[in-house]
Amino acid sequence: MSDLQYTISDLHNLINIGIRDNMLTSNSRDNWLPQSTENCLNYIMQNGNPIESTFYRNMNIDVLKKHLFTASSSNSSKSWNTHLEDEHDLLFDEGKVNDAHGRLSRRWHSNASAIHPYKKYVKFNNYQPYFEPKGRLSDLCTMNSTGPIGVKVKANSKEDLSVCYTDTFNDNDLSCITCIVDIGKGSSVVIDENFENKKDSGKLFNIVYLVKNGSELTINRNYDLLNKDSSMNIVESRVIQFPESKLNFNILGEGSKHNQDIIDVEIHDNCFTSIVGTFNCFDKVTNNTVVNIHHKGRDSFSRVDVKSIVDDFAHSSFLGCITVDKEAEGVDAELFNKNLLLSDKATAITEPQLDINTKEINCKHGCTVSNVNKDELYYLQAKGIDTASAEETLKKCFLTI
Amino acid sequence: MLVTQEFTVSVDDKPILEDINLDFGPGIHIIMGPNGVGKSSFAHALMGNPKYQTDGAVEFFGKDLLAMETHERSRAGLFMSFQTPTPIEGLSNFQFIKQCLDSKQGSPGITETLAKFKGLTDEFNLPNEWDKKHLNVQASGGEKKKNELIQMLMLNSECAILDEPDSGLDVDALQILTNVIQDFASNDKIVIIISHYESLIKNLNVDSVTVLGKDKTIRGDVDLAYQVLDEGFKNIV
Repeated sequence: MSDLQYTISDLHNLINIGIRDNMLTSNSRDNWLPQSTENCLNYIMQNGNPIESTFYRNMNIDVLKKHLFTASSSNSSKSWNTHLEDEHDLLFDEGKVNDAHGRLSRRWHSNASAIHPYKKYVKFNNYQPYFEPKGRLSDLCTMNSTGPIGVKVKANSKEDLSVCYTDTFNDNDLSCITCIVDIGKGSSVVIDENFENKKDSGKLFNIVYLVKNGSELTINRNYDLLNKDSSMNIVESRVIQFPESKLNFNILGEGSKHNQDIIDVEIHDNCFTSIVGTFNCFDKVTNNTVVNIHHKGRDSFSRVDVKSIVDDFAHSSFLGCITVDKEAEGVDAELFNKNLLLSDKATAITEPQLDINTKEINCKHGCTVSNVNKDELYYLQAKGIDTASAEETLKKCFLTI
Repeated sequence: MLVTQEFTVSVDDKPILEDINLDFGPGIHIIMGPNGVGKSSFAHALMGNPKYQTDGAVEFFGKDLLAMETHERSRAGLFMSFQTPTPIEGLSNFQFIKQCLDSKQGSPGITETLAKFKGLTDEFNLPNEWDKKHLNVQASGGEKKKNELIQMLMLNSECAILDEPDSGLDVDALQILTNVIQDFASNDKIVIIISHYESLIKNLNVDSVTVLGKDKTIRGDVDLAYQVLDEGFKNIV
């Protein structure tokens, strides 16, 4: 296959959506072009089938493949106005930021209200190192988005932001959104994120969070339930934790027609990291979660705890990896994934990985797939609780402990 | 009344108890028997544990008990205190009892229920904030047994089967247990206790004693219990 040659425009033609260019890739074409060619080979055209990369092996990806080949690239000017518009400080639309005052920007939003977003021009080229090709769909997102959007919080600030990721265009193309969240040194920021489903279509996100030295970022991510049966969300989040930073990442979801939540965390010295995922999947939804924890620095602490209930015909997969570099001594890392499988027709796949290259660390992982505990069910029934209510109670218990 | 007729209990088609004919009216009834004879199986089979297959008939206040689902048996007025209560993480003691009460018609409001629950936990000397602790999680054997008794009082069922309620209890707790059972039974309730504990039997007004054996079942008054305690089961069943 190495003698095959592909270009970005080939990629465009292959997947039938419009390739654009943005400043995250324009000055580093040497990085993107050859590698994207390889990426094409890996995930777009291998054996004549799209997105066959082994990275997606557990993700029940046929629904997404089908959409990639049928989606229209034309945008309608008709807006379908997000129902969440009034509830959030910021709307991150495809290539736009809409703040609470209704101001639109195609560039950057600063949290400082005195600074008009239009005037606060930021050189996105500076962020190019954080957008290297990865051989995943997020590459496509970066190449195909109209340009990055984001929010920057100044050093030593305290912010509580509510952000909605939306798409105001009434079309069925695969929206590509590239976003940068830059948390300044010594800041403390809470971001409540809501991902709005795009009816009969999908959205592809590539979000980079920079948690600078001594800062603390809490992300409360929630997937909207409206239109989940017909929408797809592919969300790749890359978090870079600078020394002595803290990250609390909480995710709540019920899956969708096709859902991918891929989180890569790069952890440097003396950091704290907590990732908690809670998913309740039923009907025919698909929900895939990937968490890659990469300890690059010393004396950091990380915990990953992802729980899923999988019922009816739902499909759930989890891939979790802890990588500890040789230099990262004194690391304390644990990763757990628990699945409660409630139906013979449902699927739960869990795959933990460890790549430890140093000594003097604490590192644990554990993954389980189990059914409802029959003793617990009987105990509740014996005290008068009917079967359906007892199962519901045990589901809630599973998610809360 | 709880009446069993040719009641047979099996696990995986292997009979444990066969043709048990017993009746229990209001009052205190003791069930004894050698280890492994099937005393707990008898209780669980009556309660509807799906692990057990049953045959014969059981009439409970005129209704066919064996035709009911497990939760229906509870709602019909049958209560069982487990020998080893199952721990359920994530469910608090009070959430649990409130849900049990809500599943019955005419349950009282949350404030009244909480006040009564807290009153009982104080009476039973359970730790502070017992209502918030997870059900049977990180609790001692005695605390779990007390919790079962509180459930019995809160649910106020017509018939309570107590599977070794005395194990794990200290002397003071045993006195509380005796008083609670005697009071409960005095309200025309049926109390069936699986126990070999002499102090408990001596301090209760026992109406009948049943000794379950491998091949036969003996029914008598409290003297039968004393005979077992003196001589063991060898000469009895």
